[in-house]
Amino acid sequence: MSAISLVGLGRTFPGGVNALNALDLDIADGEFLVIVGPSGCGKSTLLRLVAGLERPSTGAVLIDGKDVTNVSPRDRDIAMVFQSYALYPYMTVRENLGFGLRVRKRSKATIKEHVAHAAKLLDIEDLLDRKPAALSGGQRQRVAMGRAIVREPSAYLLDEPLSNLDAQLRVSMRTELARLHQRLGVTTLYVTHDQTEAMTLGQRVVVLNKGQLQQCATPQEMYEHPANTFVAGFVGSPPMNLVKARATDDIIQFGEHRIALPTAHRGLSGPVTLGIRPTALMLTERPDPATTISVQVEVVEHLGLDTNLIFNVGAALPGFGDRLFIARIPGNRSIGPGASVHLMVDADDLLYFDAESGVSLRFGGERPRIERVAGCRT
Amino acid sequence: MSDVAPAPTPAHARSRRAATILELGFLLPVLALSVAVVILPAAISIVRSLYDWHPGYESQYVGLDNYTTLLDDKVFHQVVKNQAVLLIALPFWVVLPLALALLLYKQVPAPGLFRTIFFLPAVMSSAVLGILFRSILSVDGPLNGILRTIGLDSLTRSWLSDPALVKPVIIALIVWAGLGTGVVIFSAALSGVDHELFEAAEVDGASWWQQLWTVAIPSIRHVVYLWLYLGAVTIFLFSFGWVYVLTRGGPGYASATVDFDVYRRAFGRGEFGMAAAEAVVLLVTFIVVVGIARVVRRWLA
Repeated sequence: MSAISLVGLGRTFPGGVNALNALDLDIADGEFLVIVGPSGCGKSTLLRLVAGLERPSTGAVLIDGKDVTNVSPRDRDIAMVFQSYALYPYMTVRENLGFGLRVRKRSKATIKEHVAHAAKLLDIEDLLDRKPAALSGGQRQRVAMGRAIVREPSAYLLDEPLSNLDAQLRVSMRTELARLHQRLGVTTLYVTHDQTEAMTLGQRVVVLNKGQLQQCATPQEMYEHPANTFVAGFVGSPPMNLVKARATDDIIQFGEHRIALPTAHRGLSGPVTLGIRPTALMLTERPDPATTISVQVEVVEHLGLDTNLIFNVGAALPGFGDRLFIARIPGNRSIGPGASVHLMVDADDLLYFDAESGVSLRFGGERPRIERVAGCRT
Repeated sequence: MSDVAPAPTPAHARSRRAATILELGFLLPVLALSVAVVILPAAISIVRSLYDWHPGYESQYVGLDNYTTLLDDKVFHQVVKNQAVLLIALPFWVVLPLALALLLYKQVPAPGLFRTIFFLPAVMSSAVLGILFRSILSVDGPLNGILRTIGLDSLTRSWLSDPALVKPVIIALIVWAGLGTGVVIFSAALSGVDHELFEAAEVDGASWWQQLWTVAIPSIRHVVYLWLYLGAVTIFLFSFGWVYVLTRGGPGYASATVDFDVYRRAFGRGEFGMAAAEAVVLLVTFIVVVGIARVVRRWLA
């Protein structure tokens, strides 16, 4: 097991595309760290830099404090699971699993023992003599994971390992990966574009966008205090409602609606971006103008336990288009499209972001202040 | 409406027959050509190998005499030995272009330029290349000249007239001449292999050499087999061009191959019956070798 540190790590591709921008990141020994972001955010590049499959343009990769920037992938003692699984199609599952040990000239007995152990751990013992072509997606995924486990590396790098599975299998494999990490306790870097995977698996989550670190925090912290509008809109399902708003005289106005600022948020003035979580909107029968907005529901999504109400809050300011909001209400309410409803806003749950930079505003001093992105050092 | 397919009508049968005739029409020219230039001459050779054949004169039927004489012939023994030694070229014929293709695939900038450079020898005939190398490798040729200029006089050799050197030189030239085509074929095959297989192998700890043997070759093994067959064909049936131009089989018979010897016996010594017998032996040997290769391949798969 190993701790991994990235120091000012950057990668510019020939042609000037900046895939990753001077990233500082510490991954603790035994930690499960998830890197999440939309496609093209640089997350796969980050993983390939740690693996040594690509050379950084700037910065360094440290494993257990040792600079491995110029060390070849094979000497970094890490294992990688690829999105395509990269199983050797002409080898049986057994040969695939033992490959890493075979090329390292380990004894036949050792290979046999390790392969048997991994196969048992992943419940693929009866697949050992099959070729990858005769396996289902989920089974291939297990074999790919097994190939990493067999080598007992000091860290796992997983590149979107579940993205080729169907939704149901993805959820069960997610649980298995979490259990596997609990049992093995090996440092794991997990890349995904799926925020649900990130939030459920990660001990800490790193959000990347356009090669820039957006935030690095525990899932809870990230949900409660997103560092900026990008993170706020990316994390959580359904995502947070974000809208241009204007604060004046303890009133905040967005679209066609006005509500009173809670005492704790007084002092706010001028344009801000307002964030309202879908769960911070509650149906009410007794509208209080200071805390309630009245809207007409356009779309209703029944999810069983919950129901999503989608409605338009109107153009915030001239020049801004209509803004669709989502409210998540208990599923036992029967509301149809077109219904007029009153929604009480939980004012304590509101989030405010700097209108220009999108950075989160914090309260507590005399005036709200811009919160800088915390570094990712442990 | 009935679900039953309509029974074939006379019209259907007629159009089917017309299609068959059309297909045969397309096949016929190729069939005629291969019969005329391959199958018929081969058949004639087999028949003539049973005669003491003097073209233009009456030939006497001698049964298998040509074959027994050939099998006792010291020159034939030497020639067969030479041919076997040339087969040493086969592993190099496969591994060198494969290794180069892998290098181009993995790390060289502007791989297209390098492919073009490697491919150049492939566009010249072995006879042209042979003439070129006969002058390069002659005792007072450019190669020895360069060696003397840079002070490596001790390495100068009579490359084509030293019995110990002539076969290695021919092997090197055959491998070199096939290199370009091999690189292009293997590059094309490798470009169809999932790049992540190599990366996975690299992370798993496979060295460059291990990646060649455990990823590259198995992934494109069908192309490797094809190239191996082509190599065997080249060495067995197309070494004539090199040998004729470079050495005429010399010194002595040190570089004579079976196909060259067929030519030498027929047109050099007028032993047409013996030459025909030798050509038949070559054909049968080649068919047997390819047959064994196919069995081995099926067994490996």
